[in-house]
Amino acid sequence: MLSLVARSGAFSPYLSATSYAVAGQLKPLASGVVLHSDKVPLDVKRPFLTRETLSGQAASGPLSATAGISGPSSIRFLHSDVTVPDFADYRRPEVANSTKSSRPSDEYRKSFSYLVTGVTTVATAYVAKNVVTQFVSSMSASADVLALSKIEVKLSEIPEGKNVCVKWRGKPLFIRHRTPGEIEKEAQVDLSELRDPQHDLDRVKKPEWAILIGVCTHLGCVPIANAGDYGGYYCPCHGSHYDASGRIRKGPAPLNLEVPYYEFVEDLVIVG
Amino acid sequence: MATEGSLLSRDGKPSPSYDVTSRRFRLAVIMSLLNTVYRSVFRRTSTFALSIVLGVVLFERAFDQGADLLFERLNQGKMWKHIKHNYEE
Repeated sequence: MLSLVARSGAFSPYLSATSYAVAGQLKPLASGVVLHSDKVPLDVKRPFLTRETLSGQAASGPLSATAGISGPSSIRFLHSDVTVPDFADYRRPEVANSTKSSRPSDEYRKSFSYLVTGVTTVATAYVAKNVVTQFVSSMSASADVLALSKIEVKLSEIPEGKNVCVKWRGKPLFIRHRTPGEIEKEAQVDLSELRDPQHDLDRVKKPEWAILIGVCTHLGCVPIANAGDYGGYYCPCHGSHYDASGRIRKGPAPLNLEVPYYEFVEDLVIVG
Repeated sequence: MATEGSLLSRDGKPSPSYDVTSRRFRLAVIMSLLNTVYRSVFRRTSTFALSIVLGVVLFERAFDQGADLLFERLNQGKMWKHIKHNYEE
């Protein structure tokens, strides 16, 4: 305490634990009447211990405020004249009577609250799910784009041994009606001599029809059909030779011609 | 067994002291039903959440199909599937 007083400097008078009695603001109109007959009950034998015992010994005016380091001073008034508002309009009918026990209707009231919560949550979840679904589905391709992404080709108009080129998704699409000789030849190719080993039957759904994307896997030129050393396709840009199954056999291209997804529906082939 | 709160007598029939058509009886039935639902579903958070999930699934189905049904009823004869048989064999 001494060191604290020494260090606090200018504040040291305020840091001492002393209480000051403050006279009340209300002053009697007729002052100076001192009743000497009333003896102040002062018990000098009583041990002087705390502030409470001090104030018990010495009465000091009608209103007093104390200020000390131990805590804030406060004056508390008793509000016995304030009327409690009537909350009857806000109460549920089960608890309108305040003298009745609220316990029997407890579960009913709680279940009503939970029912309201549950129904609100269900409705919110439904709305949220639909909003999210709308946003996510707006990112996917629209129906007109999806409709353009497919192509139908009539196969009966393609004679045997002919290669037809159609435009599909901005790229050339080869549809080749293979002869039995070509089918036989491609089926017997040894996989070990291929750069991108793939059996002919893994590249076609029906052996008569080879459906390929006509983009050279080297640098993207369009190969020429029925040309080259292997009787399939020949890329004029850098001299890649493909066979009748679209597999790379010679030249700089690293991979076989790509096979798109397609399916046969009666006389048609649907690519995409 | 016939306490003041019980609605049914021992043989399961409504007690004669209760008028089945009265508003008070219906209220009491709703109260007892809600109490049962509270005790079995709402009391635990897990079952409450599960009931909400199931409720969403059922509500979505019912609401969507009901809305579609209403839409088709209001547009009867205007939609392709209503006039399809006139144009296709």
